[in-house]
Amino acid sequence: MQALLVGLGLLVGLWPSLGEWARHIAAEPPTAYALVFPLLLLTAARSTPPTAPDRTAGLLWIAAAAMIEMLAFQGGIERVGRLAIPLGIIGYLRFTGAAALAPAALAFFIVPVPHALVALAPLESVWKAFAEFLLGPAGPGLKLDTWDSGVRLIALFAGLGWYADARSGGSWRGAFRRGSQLAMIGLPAQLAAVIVAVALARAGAAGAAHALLTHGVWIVCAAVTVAAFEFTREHEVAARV
Amino acid sequence: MSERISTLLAVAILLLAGAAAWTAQARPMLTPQPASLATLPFSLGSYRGVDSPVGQNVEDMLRADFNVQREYLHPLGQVVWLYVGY
Repeated sequence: MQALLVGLGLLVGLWPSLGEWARHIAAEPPTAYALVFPLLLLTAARSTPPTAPDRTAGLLWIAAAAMIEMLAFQGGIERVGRLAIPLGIIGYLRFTGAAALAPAALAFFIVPVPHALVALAPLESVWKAFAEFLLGPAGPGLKLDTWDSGVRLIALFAGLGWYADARSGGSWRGAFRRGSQLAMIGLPAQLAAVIVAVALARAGAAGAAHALLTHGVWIVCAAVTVAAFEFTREHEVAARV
Repeated sequence: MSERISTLLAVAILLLAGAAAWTAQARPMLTPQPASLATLPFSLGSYRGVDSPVGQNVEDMLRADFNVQREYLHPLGQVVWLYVGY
């Protein structure tokens, strides 16, 4: 009953931030990669053993979420309110004991990488130049934007690494280590995607190239990585039996 | 702290934050009227201003809602350029 009440309170209280988060993803399609993480969070939370409820820590996380949402909306910087979502989720999971900190912290990956951070490393022109050096000019049909820098994939792979370790019952330190290791795949994966996109554009399929860069690349990366984790995990379990 | 009190406290904190955010969202948006920039005085002391519109390519690049560009001339020949973009 208490868990239900806090869950409903979380949903109602953070509704303004959730709405802003959803509008942001709808307005910036490349940020849709973050939609993978609510599912992974749910899977990780359900598949790891619950812990003893830590009401004090949970309350503190919830209070931090509430404070950030209030400051963001009252101060007119609503996008900052997105940070309240992971804090609130972690607070709820710690308050109820539904998940340990490592799987709960996956909630941070629900917030897409800020555009300002993505724009800090304008690597997309480097990837395109390299791909065109290999394959020849892509033509005017293929235009890369700042989201194609690869920073988005770094965040995606970091989250997938975190998930893999947290789902196996690892601590947040282990999850951080594995997330950091896997994050290094982000840039090579982006380069590979740009090479394929340039090849598609040269073949006259500029629309497919654009779709690959906007959504295809993160969908493929997430699906392949999660499938690889699950396959490895099943084999480990089978070997133990 | 008992389970019931901590639950009520968590719900109260969340509802308070939600209410504050809803209230802030419900505030009427400020609607700036940049066109009134055009009413900036043409006469400033001894200076007399003439409009010098920015080119279309510059407007496209700046993507401002409204551009004012003027050249204010002094009878002794000094020139002051003014640009305001909003």
